[in-house]
Amino acid sequence: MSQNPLLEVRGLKKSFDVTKGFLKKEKHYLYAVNDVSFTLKKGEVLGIVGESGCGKSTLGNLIVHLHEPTAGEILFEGISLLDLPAEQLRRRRADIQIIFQDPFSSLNPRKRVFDIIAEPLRTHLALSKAELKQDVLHLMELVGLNRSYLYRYPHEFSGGQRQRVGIARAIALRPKLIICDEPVSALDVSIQSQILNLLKKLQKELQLTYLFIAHGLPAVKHVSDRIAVMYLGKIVELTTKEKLFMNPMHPYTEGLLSAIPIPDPTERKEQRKLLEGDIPDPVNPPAGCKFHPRCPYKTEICSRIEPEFTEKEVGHFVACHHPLGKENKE
Amino acid sequence: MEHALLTVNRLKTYFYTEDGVVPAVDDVSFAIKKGEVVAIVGESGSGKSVTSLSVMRLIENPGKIAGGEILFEGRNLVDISLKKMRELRGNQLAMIFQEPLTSLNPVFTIGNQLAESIRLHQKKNKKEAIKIGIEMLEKVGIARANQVYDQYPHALSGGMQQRVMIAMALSCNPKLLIADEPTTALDVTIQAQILRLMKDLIEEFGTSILLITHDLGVVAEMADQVIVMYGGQVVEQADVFTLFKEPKHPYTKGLIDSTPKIHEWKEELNSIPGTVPGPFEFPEGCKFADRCPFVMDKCKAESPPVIEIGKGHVVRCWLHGEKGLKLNESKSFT
Repeated sequence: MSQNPLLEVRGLKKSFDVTKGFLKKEKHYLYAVNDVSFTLKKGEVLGIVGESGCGKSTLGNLIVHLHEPTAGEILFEGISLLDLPAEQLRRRRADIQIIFQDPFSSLNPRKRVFDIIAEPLRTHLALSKAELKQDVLHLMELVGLNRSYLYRYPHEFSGGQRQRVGIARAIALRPKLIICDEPVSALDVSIQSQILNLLKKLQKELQLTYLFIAHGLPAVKHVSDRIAVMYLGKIVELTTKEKLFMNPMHPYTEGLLSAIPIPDPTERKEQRKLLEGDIPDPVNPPAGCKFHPRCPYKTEICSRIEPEFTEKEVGHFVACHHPLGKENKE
Repeated sequence: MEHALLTVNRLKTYFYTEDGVVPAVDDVSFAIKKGEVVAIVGESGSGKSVTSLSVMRLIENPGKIAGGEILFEGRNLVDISLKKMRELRGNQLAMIFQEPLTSLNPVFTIGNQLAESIRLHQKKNKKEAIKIGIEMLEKVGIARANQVYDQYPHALSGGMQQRVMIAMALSCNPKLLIADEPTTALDVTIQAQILRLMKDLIEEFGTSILLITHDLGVVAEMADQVIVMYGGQVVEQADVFTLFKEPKHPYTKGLIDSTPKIHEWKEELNSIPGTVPGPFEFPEGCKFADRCPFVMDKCKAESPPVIEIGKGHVVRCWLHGEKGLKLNESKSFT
C-alpha cells in the first residue's frame, strides 16, 4: 500500500471558546476535535461513527473548510489545504464536496432543482446553456430523479428525493472526495436503504472517496471499508468494518454494538451489557481516558493516564489501556 | 379472555384542511390488555402519532375524531367531557413525547413541574409531593435525585430529560402510558438504557404501554403486539413473534427487510421502491399499490378489506384473498 493517500489528517484540533460570564476571568474551551489523525486512500470509504457531541460533524466541516482548525494539518493529495492562498483553495473546493444531513434546510427553497444542481457547475465551469442542461439532466438520471422534476421546487419533494438532489449537486463537479454528513438519518427507514444503495453505487461507478459520518454503526456498515469510532473529540478505534463488527477492541465500540436493538424478537437480550451513564460534559472532560467513567473494564491507570492511539494488531488502531481480545469477551 | 384496558374501535380521525379532507387515521381498531406493550409502527405520514393523540383527545383544529370509539375501562373517551378527560390525562393516561426538552417548561425547575402533577392528581401536600417526586427520580435511575430536583431542564442531557419525563408520566401511576417515539432523539447507548428502564417499570407497576415508533429494532425489543400502519390504515397486526417470523403484508415485509441487521453482509440493501405519497397522493384502492412488488389489477381498483388469517393476526391485502385462504399456515400460533 505505497499509494499516496488522497486525504491525510494529522493531529487535527478544533476548540471553541465557550467562556461565559461578564468578567470572563476563566477561559473555557470545548475541544470538539482533539488530536485526530487518519488517512484516506483514493476510492476508499471511511465511516466516522459516534454519538452526539463526539465531534464527528466538526471533523467533516474542518475538512471542507467550513471551520478553521485550531491546530493540525489537512493534506489533500499531499498539499496542505490550510496554507493555500484563497484563490487556489477555491479551486480545490471543486474536489471536495459535502452532503448534509437535513435535506430540508440544505436546499434553497427559492431555487428550482435545475438551479440547485447547476450552481456548482456555473461557479466552477464555463458551460453553454445547452451543455449545462444536458449535464444537469445526466446528473438527475445518475441519482434516480425523473427528468420531469427539472423545474420543480424543493418543497414539492419528499425527504428522500431532496437528498437525491443534494447528492446530484455534490457529484456535479466529479469531486475526488465527498463528505457525507449523516446523509440518511433524517429519512424514513424504507428510504434510508434506497439512499445508501445509491451512494454505494455512485461511489463504485464514479470511483469516489467518501468520508461517511453517522451516529450509528448500522448506517455506516453498508458503505464503509474502514470505520473510525469517535468519543469526545478523539478517535478511539479505527479498523476495517469486518474487524470492528466481529472483533471490537475498544469497550466503547463494544457498548455501541450491544446497544443496537436487534429487529428480531427471538433475540431479545434481557441481560445484555449496557453502557452506564451519560456522555460527559465536553467542556470538562474526565482526566485520563475520556471513556473511563462509563467503562466496565476500567482500572486505576485509566483515570490517570490517557491511552495512546496505537496499532494493536495490523491495521487495527485502538486507544485503550485494556483492549478487548478474543479471550476476555463473552 | 382477559379484559382489554383500552379498545379502539374503527377510529377515524380526519383533518379538514382547505385543500380537502385528509383521513389521517382511517378505520383503525386495536386493543391493549393490562400490562401489555402494543407498538404502532409506521413511517412519516402513516397516522401512528395521530392515533395516539386521538386516544389522548389532543387532536387540534382542523383535525377531528370523525367516527369510531375509544373505550378505556368501559368509558368511551370520544364522548366524555373535556373536564373528565383532563382528570384522566396525567392520572390514568400519561404520555411522553419524542423531544423531552419541548415538553418540559424551561422556566420551572424539574421538581416544580414534577410536584405540580403529583399535587394536582393525588391531592398530596407540598412536602409529600416533594418526597414522592424525589423517589420517582430515583426510580427512573437518576443519580443525585436531590440535586436534579432543583435543576432546570436545560441543565440535563437528553437522556436525563427523557428520564424526568418518564418519572413525571409515571408519578401518578397511570394505567396506560403512551410513548410517542420516546427514544428517537437519543443516542443509541442512551436509547438502550431508556428502553430497559421502561421494561423494568412495566414489570414493577404493571403499566400498559402504547409505543409509537418507526424503528423495528425497538419494536422487537419491547412489544407484545404490533400494529403496522400505512397511509392512515392498519395494514397488519399480530403478536411480535408472528409478525417478524411470518409477515403477511408486503409493506411489513419490506420494512423488516430494509431494517439494517448488524450481522448480515450484503452487496445491496433491501429497500421499498418509491416514497410515501403526500396526503392527497395516495392511490385509489390499496394505498400501498404503487410501491408494492406484488401489485395486481384488483389492488388498484378496490381497497382490500381487513381479514383475519390467524389467531389475532390480521392483514389488509388482496394477496390473502377475502376470507384468509392460508389459515392452515397459522398452526404456529399457540
